[in-house]
Amino acid sequence: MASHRLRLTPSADTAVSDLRGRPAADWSRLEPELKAQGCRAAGYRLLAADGSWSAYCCKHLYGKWRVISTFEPGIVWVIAVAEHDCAELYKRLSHELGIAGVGRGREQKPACCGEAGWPTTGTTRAGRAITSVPHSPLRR
Amino acid sequence: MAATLPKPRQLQRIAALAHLDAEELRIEIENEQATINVASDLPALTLAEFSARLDSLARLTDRLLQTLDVPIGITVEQAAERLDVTTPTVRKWLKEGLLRRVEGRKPIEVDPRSLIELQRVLATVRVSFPARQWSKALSAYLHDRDLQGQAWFVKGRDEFERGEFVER
Repeated sequence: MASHRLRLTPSADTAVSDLRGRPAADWSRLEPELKAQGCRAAGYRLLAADGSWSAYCCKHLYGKWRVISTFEPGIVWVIAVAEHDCAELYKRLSHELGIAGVGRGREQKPACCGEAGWPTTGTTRAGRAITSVPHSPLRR
Repeated sequence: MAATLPKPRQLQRIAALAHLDAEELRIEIENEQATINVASDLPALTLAEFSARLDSLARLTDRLLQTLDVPIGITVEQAAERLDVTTPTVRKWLKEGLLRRVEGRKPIEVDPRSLIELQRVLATVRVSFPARQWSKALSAYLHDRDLQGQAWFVKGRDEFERGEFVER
């Protein structure tokens, strides 16, 4: 039984409608999971520009397809669904920093919900704007 | 296009003004420290008083930054020393966009604000992940920065901020 409402931004909705093949099949599985489990099904939490938690999570579908989401009480917001071609990024990193070789992807994937549950960055859009992140996600 | 630099005489005046502002800032901070040191004997600051003092420091800092608003950055060597990395690494990070360069400056100079931003991230990453581990955290940071800078991500986020949605 769904415990969360699912809202897609118009661009995410269009992207989902255009999915074909395995990414579409992955989305078909993910959609009920998001409704039932909320952030527990939403992949890993992204880092913000200052190194603290971002308000967004990332779930991988087949290939390079990514589902970006955020949450309000009882509501799952799917912000974007798109391909993230990070091969070039990792290629550069691999060459220049000697880290994260091509195809290895992002090594650290902290749970979307976080240790204290979702959200750690405010329950609403307004709240997120004024609530400081109480801890660094990189500090464990 | 090359940035127009102040003449040496103008730079001297700018440096003198910046020195003046820095001195004032230091005195303000010393005063605040003295206040904190005797705080146990005084009633606690109200939020409004504390806010007013922070405003005063912010005004001084703004003035200092205005004085120093000349298109001169940090040398690659200075940046490397500050970030505790090698100069080739600084040059690589400039290519990556992790650091910004000051336009029109040769040899290459690093934008001070981008250096401070990166320094903060590196400080966090290094404390949490000693030795080589911190570079993995940096990799995650770079990945997420890249992801969240994608046009499709920004578009979706803007739609979300405007409250536009399709219920499913």
